[in-house]
Amino acid sequence: MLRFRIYMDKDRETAWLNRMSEKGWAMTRFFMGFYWFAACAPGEYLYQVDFGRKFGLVTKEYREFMEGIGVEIVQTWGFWIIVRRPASEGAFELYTDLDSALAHYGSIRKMFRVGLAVELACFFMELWAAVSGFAAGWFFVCLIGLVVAAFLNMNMQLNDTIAELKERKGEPAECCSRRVSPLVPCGLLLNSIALLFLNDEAWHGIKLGTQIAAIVLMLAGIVVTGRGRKRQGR
Amino acid sequence: MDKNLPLTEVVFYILLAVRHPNHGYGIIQEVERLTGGRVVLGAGTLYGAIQTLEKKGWIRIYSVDTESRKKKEYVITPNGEEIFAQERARLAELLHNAELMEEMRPNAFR
Repeated sequence: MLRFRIYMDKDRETAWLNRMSEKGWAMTRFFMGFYWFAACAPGEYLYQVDFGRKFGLVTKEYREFMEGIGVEIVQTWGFWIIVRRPASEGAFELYTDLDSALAHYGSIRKMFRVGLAVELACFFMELWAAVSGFAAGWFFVCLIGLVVAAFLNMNMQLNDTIAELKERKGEPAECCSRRVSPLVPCGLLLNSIALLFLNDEAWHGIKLGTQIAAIVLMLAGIVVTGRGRKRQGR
Repeated sequence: MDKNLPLTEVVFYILLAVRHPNHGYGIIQEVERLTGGRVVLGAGTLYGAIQTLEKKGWIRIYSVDTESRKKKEYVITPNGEEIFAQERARLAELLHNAELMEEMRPNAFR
């Protein structure tokens, strides 16, 4: 069986893989958003997603260590390592103390921060191209805008996770952000639809309306996000 | 005092579990048994800790079984033993001083 999914949040991906395993589908392979599944006994495997130190590969040491404790490396993808262990061996967790969990989420956040910086740079380059007359540029502006929003959202979510872990450890939280409201990406999406499909002269009014709606959505999203932050800051 | 102290619970129990040569799975099992299931070492937690301890020179690879299953065994080094002894002295001091509580509330612990 083949499924297409895009996950940025490894905790949600893990939960999904485990739900699939419970239904009798064990993930065996991943490529570009496609997940391959093979039939298994319901709940046969427990899945976890690890974050490696090297891009696209696991060290021999890591592989040997994991094999030694009965953990099978199913797939590596970028920094991500999808692993599983038969459920018969008991509960399967990767990070069981606060220090190692903090280090784990810290390195994931570092990757998303770098990713955000790169995407933002691309965003402004495309915006510049679009404004200076490259019509297809607007398409990329919206596309990359969506990616920027998704990365921003992941950064904020990870800030939350890390702040929560630090609080549990008794350290003062470094910041108290909340996730970006879903209204922001919705606005971006609407805007891109307007720019992409409503270019006919006759549709001019509808295009304008759609774009105004998109701007309103985005502004509302920013306000909601800001409020959420204040509320948590109190 | 050494800036490495106090040891985290994870490091404390890993050092204890490699007082004799022990492999990853053995360490997890022994720590779980010693703490009655309270401290369960996750795969990533143990892997990261072993890497750090090896780098610090507190544990070393004891043997590599290349024939059957590739199971690396680890064992504590003299440096690791030294750190553990310091931590033990610190904990003994804590326990000793904790007895002062009984003086304050004579009936509380009887």
